[in-house]
Amino acid sequence: MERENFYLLLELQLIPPEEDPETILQAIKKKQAEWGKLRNHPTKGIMAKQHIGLVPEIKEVMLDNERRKKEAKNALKELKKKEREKYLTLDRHLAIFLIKGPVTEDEIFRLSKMHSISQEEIQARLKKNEKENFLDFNKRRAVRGSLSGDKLINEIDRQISIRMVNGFLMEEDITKIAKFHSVEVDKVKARIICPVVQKASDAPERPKPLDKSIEKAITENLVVVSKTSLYDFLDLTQGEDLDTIHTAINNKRAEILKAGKKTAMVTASSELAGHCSAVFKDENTRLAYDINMANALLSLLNSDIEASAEDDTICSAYFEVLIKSAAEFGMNEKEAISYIEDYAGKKGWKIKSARKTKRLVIIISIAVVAVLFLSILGAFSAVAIKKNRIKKRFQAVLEEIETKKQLEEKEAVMKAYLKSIDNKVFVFDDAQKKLTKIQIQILKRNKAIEDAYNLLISTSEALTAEQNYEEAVKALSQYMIKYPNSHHLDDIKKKIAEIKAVAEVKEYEALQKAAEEQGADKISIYIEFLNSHPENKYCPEVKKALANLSETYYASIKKQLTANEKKEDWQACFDLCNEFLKIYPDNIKSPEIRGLQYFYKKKLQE
Amino acid sequence: MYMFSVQLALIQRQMILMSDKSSKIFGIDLGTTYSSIAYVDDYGKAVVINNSDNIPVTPSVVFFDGDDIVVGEVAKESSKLYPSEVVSFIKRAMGEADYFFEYDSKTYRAEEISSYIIKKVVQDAENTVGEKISDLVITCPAYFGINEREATRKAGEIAGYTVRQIINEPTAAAIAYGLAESHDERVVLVYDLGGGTFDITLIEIKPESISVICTGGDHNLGGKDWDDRIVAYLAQEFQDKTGSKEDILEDPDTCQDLLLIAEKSKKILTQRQKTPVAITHGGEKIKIEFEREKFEEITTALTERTIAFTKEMLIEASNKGYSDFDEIILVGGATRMPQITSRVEQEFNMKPKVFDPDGAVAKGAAIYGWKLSINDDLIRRVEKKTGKSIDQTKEGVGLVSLNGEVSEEIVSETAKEMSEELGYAMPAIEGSMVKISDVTSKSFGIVVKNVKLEEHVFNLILKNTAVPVKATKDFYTAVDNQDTVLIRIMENDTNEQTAPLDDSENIGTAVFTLPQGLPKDSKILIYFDMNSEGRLQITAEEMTDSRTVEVTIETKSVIQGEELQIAKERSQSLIVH
Ligand SMILES: Nc1ncnc2c1ncn2[C@@H]1O[C@H](COP(=O)(O)OP(=O)(O)OP(=O)(O)O)[C@@H](O)[C@H]1O
Ligand SMILES: [Mg+2]
Repeated sequence: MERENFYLLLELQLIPPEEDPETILQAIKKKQAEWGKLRNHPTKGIMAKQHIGLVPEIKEVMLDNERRKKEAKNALKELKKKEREKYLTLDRHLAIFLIKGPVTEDEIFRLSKMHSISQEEIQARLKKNEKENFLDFNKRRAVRGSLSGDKLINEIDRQISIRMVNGFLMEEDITKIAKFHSVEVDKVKARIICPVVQKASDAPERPKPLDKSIEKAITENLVVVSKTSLYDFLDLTQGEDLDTIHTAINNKRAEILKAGKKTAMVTASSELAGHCSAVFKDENTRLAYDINMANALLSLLNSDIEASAEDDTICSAYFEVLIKSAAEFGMNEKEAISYIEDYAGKKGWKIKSARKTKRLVIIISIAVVAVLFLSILGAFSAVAIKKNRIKKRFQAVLEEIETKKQLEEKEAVMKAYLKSIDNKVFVFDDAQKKLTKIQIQILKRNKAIEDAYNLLISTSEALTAEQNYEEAVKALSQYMIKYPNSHHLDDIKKKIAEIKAVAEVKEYEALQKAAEEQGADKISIYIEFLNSHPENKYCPEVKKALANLSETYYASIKKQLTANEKKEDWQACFDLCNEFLKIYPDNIKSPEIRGLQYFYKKKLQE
Repeated sequence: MYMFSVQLALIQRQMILMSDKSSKIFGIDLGTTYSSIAYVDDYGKAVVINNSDNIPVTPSVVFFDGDDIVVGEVAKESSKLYPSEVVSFIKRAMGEADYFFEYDSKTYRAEEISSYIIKKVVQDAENTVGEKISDLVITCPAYFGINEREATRKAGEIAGYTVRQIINEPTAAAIAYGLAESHDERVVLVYDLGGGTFDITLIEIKPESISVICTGGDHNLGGKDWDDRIVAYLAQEFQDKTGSKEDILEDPDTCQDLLLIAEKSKKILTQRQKTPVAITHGGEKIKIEFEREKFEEITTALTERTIAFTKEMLIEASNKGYSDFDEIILVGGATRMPQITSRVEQEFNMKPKVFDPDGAVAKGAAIYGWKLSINDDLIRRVEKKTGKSIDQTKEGVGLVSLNGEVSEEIVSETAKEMSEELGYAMPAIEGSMVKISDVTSKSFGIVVKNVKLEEHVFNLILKNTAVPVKATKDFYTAVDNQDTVLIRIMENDTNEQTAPLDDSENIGTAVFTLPQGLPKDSKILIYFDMNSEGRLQITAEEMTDSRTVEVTIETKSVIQGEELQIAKERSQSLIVH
């Protein structure tokens, strides 16, 4: 941003210019207090910070006689320029109204609302015009077709940019621009980055528009850094590809990072770099921005149309004026009519005109298209590129789906993809079909799970009834492994637990019965039970019962040991000890047996 | 005029050492939007102390209400009724030479306003804990430059307390985290998004040390910016819905009201998908459903900025040989926004851990303070025992690096005694000896002329160098009998030896008063001495006769002199509500 004029910034008297240092310092302090309060304002904070940072320079300039005088001179020029800018759109509208005679009270009232400028101020402006006559509509210049060099390129870019309001260009637009400037079609094409279609019905989906508050924030920051667009901010033209843009963003960031002074300019740049990352994320978001730029370029024309509409109607005289107005933006008559009609149509306004309008235009357009069709055939088509890109992305999505194991994951990916594209995109149907396919698979799978479950339940019940608990649990467990997605898993887990509990009781009962029947050799029965049902909740009981038998067991072992000692069968003795220790590792008799075992081992080694 | 000198600090330190029992040192997280205070309790555990409203965080908002100064929730709520009497986000103006707030035709600098916030949290804590507080450790963003740090220290002093140390917020968070979690060795990425600042730091945690490797960020990026985006959006909605062209944000009442609404709805959107919002202005009222999706859309650029800063810092870290990290921890209230977690996870393919977003910084500061006081105590005891006086300069952040003056045994014996007497477990005392080291977040240098006689900055200390650090540069007098040399001290963000003048911030001027009678071309050596808390001390030596050169530093960016005196006096007679 060019440095602001300090006289204007401090709101000092200009005629004659304020010279008193005391007054000036007072004014600075007053402003400092004001800026201090705005320091953290959500939208004005940046400027306030900028101004606070300027204080040392302000003091330097304003307390130096020479520099202050120069500043005062510049202030007057600046003031004139500011006034022109302030009244830019108002003047356009007044000029339109003046065409058909004096501006009415009604019109002044409308303009006052539209511009938030008081009626008195508008009256004053009209008075001023009576003397200076600056509101002459006929002074407006249509764009001429005889430009060259950079000017030509810039104008071509502007005309392309303007026509991007819908997010695409028509082939005929390109020919028109080429013809207008008497250049080759390819020359114009080389500057185009958005999709190009042959008929409006081929138009690609329109991207989600840029949020208005973001647009404003970008514009405000661009003012601070004196740039006209994010492209300009990155020192690029609108035609650059995304990779180049991303590199430019990174470079810009590195540059910002190096700036140790955290001035408003740096803050604004840093914010803009953030906006760049978001705006140039992909082709879609970028197109949204391009559309936005087109709208901004056309905002003056749009405001002309807005001003011309009275009681939802644009009268014939104003319609003619608007067509002329559109010529300033490089539109020819047909384009202008179509643009104005579209705009009015969207607002629900009527146009009173003697002209044969829309219908004729369409017929002409179609004729033009028909002629062009042949000449363009085989030429490079941006639509194809766009199509290709969409196709590639769809392909990538399909591949991603393949990598997913779960059907639900696949479904989620497809859904997300469908949500991200417009239903007018050519792959939409295919994507939708693919989704349906996945969903059918899910349904099928769920049905299989359900069927298997029903079967499982009847089987497991039958097995339980037969007291074949082990098989029942096995069947249930297998189901869990096979259908991890089933929502019956918790039920099954519960069921397994139930069966296990019942089984344990049954097993224990059977053990007790068997022990009773067996009489003498209870020990081996208990041991076998402990070995075969290590998890049974009755194991502690069984162990206790086994412990109670230790005395008897010890006696029997002892007897056998004596017998074998006599035979000097040390091995048998050793094994007997082992058997005892295995059952009773920490019985009161265990130490003794361990001692004996040690003795037998020695014997064996002899 | 003030001196970047440790002289005063040394005197303060000796006074403390003379007193019999070292006082507790409290930790303050002086935040852009919320502040809090913590201490280490009798069991060696760090706790955040509730304020008079019985909540752990106090809004950093100051309301000038006639002769009263009100800080906290009441002040925040008053902002929509008295927008021009209420100051918020004052931390962002710290170190700004030409910022002041005017009330009742008196002017207040950022340091003074911050001092009210400090006073409030300390007063409340005194009431809760039931003891007088005198010593503080205050935190500041790692990305703060020298002047902002100095301003933070001054804020504590104006409030009437002894500021024992200024430490970096991410470092504090890492201390709290490192001591709370297991003691495995690991490299942690600390992503700290607070109310006003974004700090991104790579820290290595080891059982015996916590060291900052690299740091980056922006002290103009925080939750407030997310609020601002919402406010701008709501104002736009108001225009669209009512058809009015008026900028409703020009009305201070409406603007403040929207700021409060914005923060509230932002918080709700962490939990829900949408929230109803009513905007009232000039007798007109509109209602909208504000959706999370919209919120994320309008703030994408901000989220992206944090990621870009992170990536840039990681590049520097990899230049230092750290190309990987083991975990990401999120601190700062604004990391509660779901889009932050998901964006960070998406970028680094790692689930970030949210770690005590409100308390980590204050607790870390308290632990640091506790370390300092244990250290004081230990030194005093060792001195008593050995009869030696130990000159432990402030650089010993690693604590009790007694430079071989006394044997290890005496130290550990004393530590044992202390642990028995004070009832702290030995590991707590040992834990207090974890060495903590930080880096500078900026480069520092001086203005010199190159061969073409163009001015540029020659950096003596480069960004991300471990502190404390010493650097020197020589100079030659230009004329016979030169009596002074003025040197502009510069701060910048480049990582190179030289930096353009335009990219650097002048943070002060060093005035060297030379000894008399020096011939032309006499060599003068300048020392840049940065201590562990990022304070710069500048000394100089005349080489021919090795005489010392007196150095004073002048800066406008930090409150000083008469202004500081006035602020201190005002503060003494002031009660903060
Ligand atoms: N639930 C939540 N959802 C979203 N944002 C939140 C939530 N809770 C707090 N915040 C935001 O977090 C920010 C405060 O965080 P924190 O207290 O860590 O910052 P601070 O210490 O005041 O600021 P800084 O550290 O930047 O100086 C505020 O912007 C607040 O609105
Ligand atoms: Mg914080």
